[in-house]
Parts: sequence; structure tokens; C-alpha cells
Amino acid sequence: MRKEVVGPSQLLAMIILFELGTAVLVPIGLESGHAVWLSVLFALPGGVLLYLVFAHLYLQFPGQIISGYTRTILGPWLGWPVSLLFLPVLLYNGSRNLREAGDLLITASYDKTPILIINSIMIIAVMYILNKGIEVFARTAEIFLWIVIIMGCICILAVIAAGLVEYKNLFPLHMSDYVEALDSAYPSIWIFPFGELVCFTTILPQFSRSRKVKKTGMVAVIISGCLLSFTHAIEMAVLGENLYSRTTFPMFTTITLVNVANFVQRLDALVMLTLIIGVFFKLTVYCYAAVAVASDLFKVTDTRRLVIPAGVVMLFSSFVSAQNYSEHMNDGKAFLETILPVFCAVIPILLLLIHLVRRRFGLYR
Amino acid sequence: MNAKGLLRLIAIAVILMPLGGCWNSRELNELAVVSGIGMDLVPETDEYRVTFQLVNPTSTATSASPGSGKPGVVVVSATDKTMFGALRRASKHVTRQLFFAHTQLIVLGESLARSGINDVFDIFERSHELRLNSAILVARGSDAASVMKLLTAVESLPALGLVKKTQNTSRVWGENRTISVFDVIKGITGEGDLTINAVKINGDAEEGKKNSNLEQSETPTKTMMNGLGVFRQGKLLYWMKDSEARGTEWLLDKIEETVINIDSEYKKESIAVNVIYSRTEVRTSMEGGLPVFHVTIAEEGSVNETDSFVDLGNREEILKLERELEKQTRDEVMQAFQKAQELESDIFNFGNELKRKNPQVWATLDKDWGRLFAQGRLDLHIKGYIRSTGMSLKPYIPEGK
Amino acid sequence: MDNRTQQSADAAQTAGSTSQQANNSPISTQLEETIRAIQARLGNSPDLVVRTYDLINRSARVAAVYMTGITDRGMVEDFISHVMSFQALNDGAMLAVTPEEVHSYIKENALSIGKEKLVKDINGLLEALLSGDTVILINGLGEGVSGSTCGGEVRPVTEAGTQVAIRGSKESFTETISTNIALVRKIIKNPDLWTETMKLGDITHTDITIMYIHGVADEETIKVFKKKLQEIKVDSILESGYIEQIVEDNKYSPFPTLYNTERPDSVAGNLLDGRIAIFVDGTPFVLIAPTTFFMFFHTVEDYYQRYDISSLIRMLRFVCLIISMYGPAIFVAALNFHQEMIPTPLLINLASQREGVPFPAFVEAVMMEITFEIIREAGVRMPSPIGQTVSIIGGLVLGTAAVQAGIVSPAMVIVVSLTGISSFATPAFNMALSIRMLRFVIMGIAAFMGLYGIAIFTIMLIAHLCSLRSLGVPYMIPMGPFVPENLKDTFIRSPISFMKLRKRLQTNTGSTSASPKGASKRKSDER
Repeated sequence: MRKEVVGPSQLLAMIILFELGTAVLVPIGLESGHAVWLSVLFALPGGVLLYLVFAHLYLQFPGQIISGYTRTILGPWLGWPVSLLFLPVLLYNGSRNLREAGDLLITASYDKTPILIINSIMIIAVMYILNKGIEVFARTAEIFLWIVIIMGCICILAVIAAGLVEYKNLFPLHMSDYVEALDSAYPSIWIFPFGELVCFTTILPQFSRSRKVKKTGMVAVIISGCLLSFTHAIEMAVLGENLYSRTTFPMFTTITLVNVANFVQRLDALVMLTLIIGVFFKLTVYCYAAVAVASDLFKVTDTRRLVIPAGVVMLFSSFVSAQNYSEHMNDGKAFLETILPVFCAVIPILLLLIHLVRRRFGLYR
Repeated sequence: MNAKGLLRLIAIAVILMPLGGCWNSRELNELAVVSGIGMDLVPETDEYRVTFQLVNPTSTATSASPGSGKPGVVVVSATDKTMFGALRRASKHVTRQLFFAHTQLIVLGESLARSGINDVFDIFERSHELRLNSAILVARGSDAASVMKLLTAVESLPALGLVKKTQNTSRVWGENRTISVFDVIKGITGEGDLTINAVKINGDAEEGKKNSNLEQSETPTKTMMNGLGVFRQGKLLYWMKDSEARGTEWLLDKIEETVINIDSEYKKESIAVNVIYSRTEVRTSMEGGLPVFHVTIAEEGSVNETDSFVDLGNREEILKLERELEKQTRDEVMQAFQKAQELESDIFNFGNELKRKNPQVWATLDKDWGRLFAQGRLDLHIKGYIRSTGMSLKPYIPEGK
Repeated sequence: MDNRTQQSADAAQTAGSTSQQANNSPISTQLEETIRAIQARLGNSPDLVVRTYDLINRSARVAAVYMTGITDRGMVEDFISHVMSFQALNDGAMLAVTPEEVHSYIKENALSIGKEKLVKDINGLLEALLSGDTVILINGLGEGVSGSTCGGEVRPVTEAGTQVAIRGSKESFTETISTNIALVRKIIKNPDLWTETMKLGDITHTDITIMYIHGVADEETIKVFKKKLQEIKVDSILESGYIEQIVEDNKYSPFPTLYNTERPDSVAGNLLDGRIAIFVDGTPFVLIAPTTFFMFFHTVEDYYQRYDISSLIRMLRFVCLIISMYGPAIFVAALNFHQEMIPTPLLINLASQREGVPFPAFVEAVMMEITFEIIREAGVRMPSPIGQTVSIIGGLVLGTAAVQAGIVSPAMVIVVSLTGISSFATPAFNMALSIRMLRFVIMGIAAFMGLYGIAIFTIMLIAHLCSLRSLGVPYMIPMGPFVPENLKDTFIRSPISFMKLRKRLQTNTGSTSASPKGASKRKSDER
């Protein structure tokens, strides 16, 4: 079969959609109060550096995904179990996204529909697209990036035209705000959403122009960071710190307030669509990453055969893992503070360091 | 392409689809669209009495079914300890499920307002149907139910009619502003206090329920916007009217357009100035332990009518009128401010401003803010401009009258 | 042209040899026997004409064989009298003649007319006869001389019936393949316009010609496509639709992956873009490959009108695409699931309209859509004057009556007619049909899951579109994969000077960097 390839603009689209996925919808970095937009910007350089680590590892081991070079760097005896640990992390994190989307849909519109149905419809679409291969997925991402941009512009224009934005809510910034912003930027925003880019270590081997890999990714991370910061700034400016921190989905609440000339109102549907698209792409990337790691570790030649098992595991863990949204959020916080940083940042950085040391001292046989 | 896998997925999707079917599907003619909600307190039992104004689709005039002479709305009430309980309890009276996403208006009864409104709004945030941008009014001198029951001329939906009335008067007269549930929640959660538009029934409330009320050129019973209700700690304290109310809007920077009658040399309040632009800027500072509120108002107007002689072609005269305009505005603003101080109710969001600019200082003042506000000083600067005098300069009235 | 005929003869030879090898035999030296064999093979068809001549004191017997109806009467007479003209010249002078001499005379004379060829076996002879040739057989020789007298009743070149343009050429293709090829040649006067011919269909022996501009079209694509065509094994090719359905890369897709047109200028434009045209004898519809999704929303007229107008019209078409696909689905979803989305006055209006409508919105929508499809289908199949009456009666009377009877709400009639009309705004009929079909699917999904279902289905649909390829070219190019260069001519039509049309024409040497568009296509292929 022909090798599937992903072009630069496709990688760009995938990263942006992945980063925006759920992060625009849920409140991030709560500790930083009205300076949340600033914490996103603070976290951005860290995110870019982290991406460069992933890209550098890819350039050192072209054609290998993270589980592949983990084994090369750490040796098969240590590398295999470490790579195996990625599998549950990826699956669980993917399922968390699914859960969040399901919960928003249920609270926003589908209050009488079981979450199983909502989530399984989403996961069916994920399986379908992964069955078509990563190339088709990348092209789809490219098209949906435009759609998301158009919808985002409509939403933002509507919010601004409705005169809801009060810049007073964003300023002034006092010294303590900067400290808080920095505090919530590292590690929480650094890891979610930027650290999650670890998934892309499984996609990079399909990248068609390895020379452009750093530039493309950096541009994508910076664009998505700025968009994220901007969106959260708008949400904060509209809702104010108090409501922003209390609402489950600030973007949704923001858009319900829109009323331009008694005609442009009730744009909830646009937010819902953005959410569905964002979560869908994020979920698919997670699912793909899990499938790629699994097929690499267990030497399954046809990766597509693993798509359905991975999807089903995600589906079930999405609603079995937590009984209600509060539990889900608490779990998420613990997960974000303990496990995720290890896999998103610590392990890759350690891998790079060990690799550099081993290469420097010629410890590779 | 794996055709078999594709077919399998489609098969799964097709099998699953009917499972998802119809959980949330509701036909339009199974819904009773709620256009307005009235909330009252039943003092004896401490329960909410919630009154719903439901749209009666068959009697709403469209080309398909001309208005049938029946009133455009149906009103039902239910009583329960919680809002949501009352919403659902109302099902005993109505044939269809109540649908709240199109609620235009919330009216609070005076008794509820007096006993405190702080805890009734949670449902608006929590529910996905109820909207945060519904307008909100306080019924002055009556319960919310009778406001809800009142039919209005011209508009077939009384709730919508009231909302439009609020918007209309806010836009051209300025004693009110459009206040939504969202604004009220912001007021409750923020520092300081809030004001809510008041509505009053003129005439016999019982008569107003009948369609016959509308069959006259002047409806005997009607609703009227009536200034602002001032709240402190969520409890209604005082009704502001006329210049007090307008002064409040001025301090809140919510004046879009208004009319001020100013004195001429020969006659009191004989020149109508239409203020077409106004902007208020607020800064706060602390001087000697007491707050000082630096307020700058810039207003622009045009002379729309003079009932006595004034030579509008003369620049000096215009400048004189501008000073007069500033004086009138200052009067109104000071009235409002003094009243608020008297009530120890910071309805102008000065507290929020101070907190935003200077959180450390605020932390020391927080508890005592009501008293401090009452002792605060208003440092008011007003700049009035008259930009145009309409289509004529000198009036036809001879000089000296 | 010589090249082509040679090829066609070869193709004919191969096609013949594969189909009826069993009955093939060399032409008998006995004239009567040969004629009997022909008559037997053709089942004594009355349109076979055999005219025998005795030459030079009955020393030689010659027969002219042709089929009436598919031959041009004047040409047959010309041909016969011409090849036999030695008779008049030498009458009386000669006493006898041998078959060989006759043969050489005839060949000589036929040569001067041109398009002559020799047939050596029965199948070749029949092939020639059924293609409209006249065959001269000589007693005593196992060989015939055929000359092209192809003719018969043909439809003249008329105005396009399905792809009408306000401005631009009024010509459209006919059912005759040679005419069609000539129509394109008249537009592109360039030696690099190459054609290749083959015969397909074991029974029908239909002429198929593929045409491309050498140096502009991608060699690899041509090779792949030719291979595909040669692999076709069917009894009959009655219309280009047969080829389309056989050649398609993805048979499970509701979307057409080959474009068809009956306008020579459209074919010419696409050839210049590096595409391949497939002509099929007997149909005015010419296939074009490779095809992209966005091609179906372009018309040749876009290039004839000013760019600003064309751009707006194109965008309008995409709006129509969205309306015709999603119109009723979104209406049903909003009415049944997302009543909060509808502005209040509109909701009250709709609610009062729906008061008393006995069906759920979805049933109402499906009913109206099916009614609309019935009216449309009836209108298409009826002779055109009646067809209009059908649509008027159907549209006006049924719609109004249904609303007045309270069976459907007026808003639903508006939505359904709007979607119906929008679907006609898609220039390509086959694409419009696919969209119309999908509309029902989306409506069903909307009734089950509302907007969420629509969104998920759309994601899957776009993923499906992205997975399609037409002759190896991604279907969704230039959006997925993204080719910025081609965006100038996708949703908008930028001024011609921006599009470097000339460059495409001039670079006709070499195959790899032939045209900007072709090049970008290849590049995207590699992704």
C-alpha cells in the first residue's frame, strides 16, 4: 500500500484544531482570574519549546513514532514498558474529551438523550475517519479549519457587535495578577492544551517534508495559542471574572448573551458546532495516537484493525470513568497535575536528554 | 478503501440511529411558549408563586390564520418552594409542556422584591432553556401576576410589549435602561447594589385582563414604566422617579438620548434640548479615609424647541445655554447621588471601580463600604455642548417674551 | 488523421478477433459463397444491399456490398462509379480480365478517393460494413476493398439542451463521434491535440476516443486511464454513462467522479487544464477526467462573463449547494430539537402555522420533498409543453391546496420549494441528483439527532469526499489537500490575467512541468 503522507498545511490545520479542540470551551487556568488570557500567552513559549522537543526527537529518528524511539533510546527492556504506559494515558485523555463534549451537548440541548448514544455517535465518526486513514483525516482537518475559522469569526463579530465586550473586565493588571497568571500557566496550561501535542509524535513520521517540521509546528502552536488567548479574553471580557469561573462552558454562556438588533441572537448552535468539530478532531488524534502506539508495540501490521477496539475502549471509559461532571472535573485536575505532565513533558524531555548524552558519548551500539 | 468496513460502520450507525430517536425531539405544537414569567412571594408559606404568560399560537395574527379575537396569551400560575418546582407544577394547568427559551421578560412582585431577590436567579444560569438576557422589571405597587395578566394594545404579546416599552423609553427618555437577568446577577455578585426598572399598573388590574380593555382608543388599564427600584443587599428599599432616576442613569453612563428643559432669560424651562450623546467617566480615589468619586460627564445636545425668545444665531447665547444645560444635569445627578448616599446603597458601581483599580485598598474597605459610600464626596465635572439648533436660528417669538 | 484510422483499424481487428473468433474465416474466393456467408451472419437483414456487376464480357464478377441507412447514398454511388470507372474507359478494347487485374484497378481508383482498406476475413468485412463502409468483392479473390461511405441520418449540430449558456458558443455535441471530435479540433488548433481510438463492447463495438493535449495532460494519468479502458469487459456501451460507471474509482460513493458535458468549449477548456476527454459514439455527452468536486459547480460561462459577476454567481451556487443539501434538514432540526435557535417572532409565527398540522415536521418535510421529486420526475419525462403544465399544476395547485387544507404548513412549502429550486442551480445534473439523494439522508438524521447528527454526518461526509479520488487526483482538491494556487479558480473566478492561461498553452513540450495546474495536481498527489 502507498505510504500515507501529511503535508505542511495539513499538519498546521491538525495542530490548530487539536489545540483549540476543547480548550476554547472549558475554563482553563482558573487560578489566574481575569488574567487568564495572559497565562495562555505565558504558557505559549513553553508550548513551543515542548513542540520543538517532539520535532527534534522526530528528526533524530525519522520514521519512528514515540514508542519506537523510546525503545531505541532506553533499550528494549526499559523502553517497551514505558511506551506501553502511553497507551492508557492516551486512551483515557481521549475519553475525557469525549466525556466533556457529551456533557456539554447534554446540558446544552440533549438533556433527555443518554450519553451513551451521544458519545457512540461521535466515536463512530472517529472510527470511520480513521478507517479511511490519516491522510484523509488530514485533508478533512484542512477543510474544517476553514469552517471553524468562519464560525469563530461570526461568533466573535456577533459578540462585539452586540456590545457585550467590556475591556474593563480584563484590565488593569496588577503585579499579583502577573504572578497568578504565571502560576496557572505552568504547569497547568502548559500541559493542557500544549503538552497534549505529544500525540503528534505519532503523526510526524507521516510528514512529507521533514525540513519544514519545526517551522510548521511552531507557527501552528503560536497561532493556536494566540487564538486561545483571544477567545478566552473575549469570554472573560463579556462574562466577568465571577461568572466565567462559575460557568461550566464559558463560551456557551457568552454566546447566549448575544443579541444584535433583536435579530442576530441565539447563536448557540454555532458554538455547539465548533465544539463538535473541535472535540472530534482532538478525539481522532488521540485515538490515532493510541492505535499507532499499540500497533507499534504489538507489531500489528494493519493499524486499521485496532481502530475499532481503541474506539470502543474510549467510548466506555468516557462514561464509566466518572459518575458526574464534578467527579470528572476533579479527576481531570488530579490527572492534569500528576500523570499528564509526566507523559507530555517529563518523558519526552528525558528521552531527548538521554539521547543527546548517549550520542555524545557514543553509547549507541 | 475498505468497503466492507465502511458498510459495517454504516450498518452500526443505521441500527443506532433509531435508538437516539426522539429523546429530545419535540414538535412545536406540543410546546407552550412562555413569553413572560412573573415571580411573587406567598408571604404565609414562603413559597414562590410563579405566573407564566403563554403564547396562544392560534390567536396570533399571521397570514395563515387571522387573529381570532381571543387574547394572544394565556396566563397560568403555580406555587412551589423552588422556581423549577413551580415551573413543573404548572403542568397541572396546561396542556403542553412549558418552553422557556423564548422568555422575554421576568417581572418581580413588589413583595418579593422587598423581601430579597438574591437567591432566585440561579435557575437562569443553570438551565439551558432560560436565558440570561431576558429583561427584568419590578412591579410597583402590585404583584407580578397582575402585570403578567394585563393585555396591551398594539402588541399581541404583553411581555414583549413591556420589553419594547422599556427599550423605547430607555432609548429616548433615559430614566430607565434595559436591564437583563445577566445585569442583575452581575449586580448581586459584584460589589455595591443595583437598580431595576419599575413598572406600574394604571387603572383597574382586573379590567386589564379582559379583551374589552383593548376595544377602546384609550385603554383604561395600562402599564407604565415608572423609574427605578433601588435595592440594597438584594432588598427593595426605595422607588426612584423622574430626575433621580435619570441622574442614576447618567452616573451609570447609560444615557443614550434624553430631553432636558432649560431656562431661558424670560421663561423657566422653556428650551428643550435633546441630548443625543453622553459619556460618563468614573474614577475613584481615597482621600483621608473617605472615597472621592471623580465623575466627568460629556454631553452633546441640540435645541429642538424654544418657547421663548433666544437668539440662537448668537454664539454667546449658545454658550449660556450650554452652561444652563450643565447646571440642569448637575442638579439631576446630585439628586440621585444624594438619595443613594441617604440609602447607603452604592447603585453606581463605584465600589466595583475601586476594587478593579485598587484591590489592596478595597480589601480594607470591603466590609464597611455602605457607610463609606454614604460619606463619600462626588467630584462632578460636566461638559455640555450644543451642536445644532434645528432648521431655524431665531424663533418667531419676538424678543422680550 | 492517418494515424487515427490506422489505430482504429487495429482496434477493430483486435476487438473483432476477441469477440467472434469461432465464426471467423477468410473470405472465400467464390463471390456467391461470400455473399451467402454475409447474409447468413446478418440474418438476411433487408438493409444489406448487394449489387453485382459483370465486367468485360463477363470475365469478372464484382459485387458492391453496403448497408442502407448507415451509408450516405451519394457517397456510395460515387464510390462505386469511381472504382468501376476503368470499365467505361476500357470497354470494348479488352476482351477479358483477370480478378487480379480488377483488384489492382479498383485499389488504384479507391485510393484516389481515400479511406480505402483491404479486408481479408468475414469479421473484418462485417466490421467494415457495419461501420458504414462499402465493400467491393471480386469473384476469385479472397480479399475485398472497402471504402468509407459512412453517412446516414445524423442530427445536426444544435444548441446545447442541458448546459445552456447565455454567452458563449451555441454549439453542442451530436451523436456522431467524428463530428464531436471535429468540434473540439475547431477550437484547439494545435498539433498537440492528440486522440486515441478503441472499440469497446463485445456486441456493440462502440467507438471510444480519448482526447488530450500532449504535454499538458499528465502522461501517467493517461496511461492509467487507457489501461482501465482496455480492461473493460462488457457486452454493450450505449452511452458514456456506461464507461463512467465502470471506470469510477469508488463505486460505493454517492458522488459522481467523472464530469460530463455536451459543450465543445467546456471540453476544450478542460483539455487545456490538463484533463482527458472521452468521446463515445452515439451520445453527445463527453466524459472528462480527472474530476474534482468543485468542477461540478463551475460552468464555461464563468470564464466568458466578467470575473466579478462570475465570482458572485459561483458563490451563489455554493450557497445553493448548502441550501439544497441542508435546507429541510436544518429546518426540521430547528423545529424539533432547537426551538431556542429560532428568533421569537419567527417561532411564534411558525408555531401558529403548525397549529393543526397533523404530521410531525419530519413526516411533513419528507412528504413534501417526495411530492416535489414526483413533480420534477413527471415534468422531465413528459414532452416539454406538457412538462411545464405538470410542474405548474403540481407546484401551484398541490402546494396551495395542501396548505389550505391544513395538511402542511406554509413555511414547509417555502423551505421545500427553495431547496428544490436551489438544487437546480447546480450546473451539473448528476451532482444535483447526488445532493438531492443525500438530502433525504440528512433529513432523516436531523429528525433523529438534530443539529448534532447533522454535524457528525457532515464530518463523515467531508471525510468521505476527501477520501475519493478521480484517476488518482484527490476529489476535494484544492481544499483538501490545500492548493492555494488553485483557489483563484474555485469559489471565485479571478481575472483571466491572474490565472496565466497562456502559460498553460505554451508549455507543450516535456511532460513533467507542463502546466501550473497540472503540476500542482501532481504535487498534491504526492502528499
